[in-house]
Amino acid sequence: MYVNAQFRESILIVFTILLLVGLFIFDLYTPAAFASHALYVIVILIATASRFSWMPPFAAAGSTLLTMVGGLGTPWFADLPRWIQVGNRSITIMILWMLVWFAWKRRQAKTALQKANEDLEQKVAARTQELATVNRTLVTEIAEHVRTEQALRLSQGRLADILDIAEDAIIVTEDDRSITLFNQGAVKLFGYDPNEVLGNRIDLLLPERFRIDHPFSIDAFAYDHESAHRMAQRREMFGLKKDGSEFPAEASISKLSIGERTTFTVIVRDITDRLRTERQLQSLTTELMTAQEEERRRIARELHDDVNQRLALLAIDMTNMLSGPSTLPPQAQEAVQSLNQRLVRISDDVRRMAYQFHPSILDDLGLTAALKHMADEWSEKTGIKTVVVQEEMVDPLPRDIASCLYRVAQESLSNIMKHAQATRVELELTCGDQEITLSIYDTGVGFDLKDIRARHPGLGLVNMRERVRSVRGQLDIQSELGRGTHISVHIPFSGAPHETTSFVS
Amino acid sequence: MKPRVLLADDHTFVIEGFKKLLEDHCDVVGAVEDGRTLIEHTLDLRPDIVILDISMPRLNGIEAAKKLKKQIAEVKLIFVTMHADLAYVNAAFRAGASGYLLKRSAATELMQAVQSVMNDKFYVTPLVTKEVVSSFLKPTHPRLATIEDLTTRQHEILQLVAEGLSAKEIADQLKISHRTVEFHKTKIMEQLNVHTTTELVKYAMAHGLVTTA
Repeated sequence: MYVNAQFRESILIVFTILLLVGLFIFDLYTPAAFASHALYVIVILIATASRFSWMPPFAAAGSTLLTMVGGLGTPWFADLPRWIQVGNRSITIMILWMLVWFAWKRRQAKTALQKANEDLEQKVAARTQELATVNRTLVTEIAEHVRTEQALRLSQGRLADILDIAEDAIIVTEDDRSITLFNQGAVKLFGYDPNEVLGNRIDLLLPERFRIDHPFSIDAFAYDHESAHRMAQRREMFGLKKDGSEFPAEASISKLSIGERTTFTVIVRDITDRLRTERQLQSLTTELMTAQEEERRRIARELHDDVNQRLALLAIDMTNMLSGPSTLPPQAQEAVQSLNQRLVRISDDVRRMAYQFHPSILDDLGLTAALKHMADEWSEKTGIKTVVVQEEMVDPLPRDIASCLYRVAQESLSNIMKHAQATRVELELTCGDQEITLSIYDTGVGFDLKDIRARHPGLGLVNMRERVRSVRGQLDIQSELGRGTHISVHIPFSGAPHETTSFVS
Repeated sequence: MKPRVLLADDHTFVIEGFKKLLEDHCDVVGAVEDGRTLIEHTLDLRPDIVILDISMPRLNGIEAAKKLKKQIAEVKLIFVTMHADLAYVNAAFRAGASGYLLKRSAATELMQAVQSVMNDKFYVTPLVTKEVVSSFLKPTHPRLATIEDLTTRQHEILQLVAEGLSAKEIADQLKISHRTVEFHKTKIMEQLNVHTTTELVKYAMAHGLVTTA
């Protein structure tokens, strides 16, 4: 191609030179008036076909020279003015150079176009390169995205699995309380299909009476900045099943805020069984306590009413041996006397033992006498001033209530003796319309209720509380360091009217 | 004429023992083992004397005695028990007893007690006289209470009474029942031996519980 082009150029140059020489000869032999020199234009036109930019001006320069030389050598007409000849030739020269100028302009334009073309091509190439890079990145990103999506799906799947195998009902709600997640546990617990509840408000799952005072207090909770993401208060409430039945539940709520969006995760647990177990445990405790008290009572009776009565009878028989006309020798009489005294001591011991098991005074003389007796004995033993104020009951209290109050008083006095360093104790038993109340105040050192269990596990407070609960009562303890202790027991009871007291005004 | 005696004890061997002790001097008209039967039989048999224990099934001796005395005032009651506690002695005599002795000394004392009671006297076994007498000497019960002897709650109530509050208002303020307030007020008046609210208020003022307004 290149060779061809060079060859073509060489031919062009040779042809141009030949044409110049040919035209010069033709010009020399044609009369001066004949503008044969104008044919040099052809040479210029041919020269413009050359690849070399110097070709047209070179040809033009040659043509110009030959035109001027030809003007000198051409045959002359005497009558023809000289300036026509010169003018013609000048016009030719001018045209020649105009052509050169045009050719040059054209070439220049062509070059510019070529350059622009090249630039464009370059730009396109660069752009293509860029696009290719972008494309590669995009492909990588898409692959990455696919991988991430798979991982996400896997983790979502896992989460869904976890949510589904969770026994607890897990419900997620939006800020407006609408449900967005309802796991299998919730389906099992509430009896709704997820489709039935998703998008609905969580109020659907709450009994009417809870809807106003919403137990989750989501609104209040939602604006509590401190609890941005933590387990909220666990509250006992009731849930409403699809079939309209209610169940006691425990709910935990956690709040999660991401940007503007806030969601609540509510974990609900049916605590029917737990409550039942608690109740069973409580009733077992009650039974155990009653059984224990009964057993103690039985043992006490056995000791007191059987063993001791027999001992008493033995004493009677022994005394009978000594009274009346005795056949016994004096030594034997003395021995019997001594035996009798020992018998009395044994009898006393047995009586005391029986009393420890169960204070028979409680059955024989009633609670008020028993409490008074206990307080008097205690006061004598400890030297602590004890004030007792009691309302007399006309009818004896039920055994379990009397026992309970007696034991609480006993335990309290024992605690006061061991720990309180009190100087004064007040014991009050009053009977209201609906309840019977026992209060025990002391002026001792008191204690911090918070660490009472840790520091004084022997106080038997748990035992006292259980005992009181077994007769559906309530035990309250108020204590402050240095300010004494007030223990009060309230037991619902309206069976024993107390003596009506007339009010003197 | 021999006194007619009814025995009440839930231990048959005790009853047998008593019968032996009494047979020469008394006419034992019957023996029962619980408080309710005792009441029924006493009403039927009209004995002069009932010898009874305190610890008995169905109705204990103290409760039975109260009921008996209400229905037949003239029947004499002698308690023969295991209990030497003053509380029991007190309860027995409050329930209407004429005699109180312990089983272990019954052999020597029972006939003596029966005779005392038949002569309209009281009999208390020497085994408990020590407690009885010291209770007279101890200045606990009969003595008039001072402000010191009032409990915190009584103190509060006295103060509120003196401030002119009604029983209902006091009940509301202290969150206790109206009846309890009345009980406390009556009890305080009894303890301080005052008979009117005016006296009570005067007492409270005298002890600086309330300033004279």
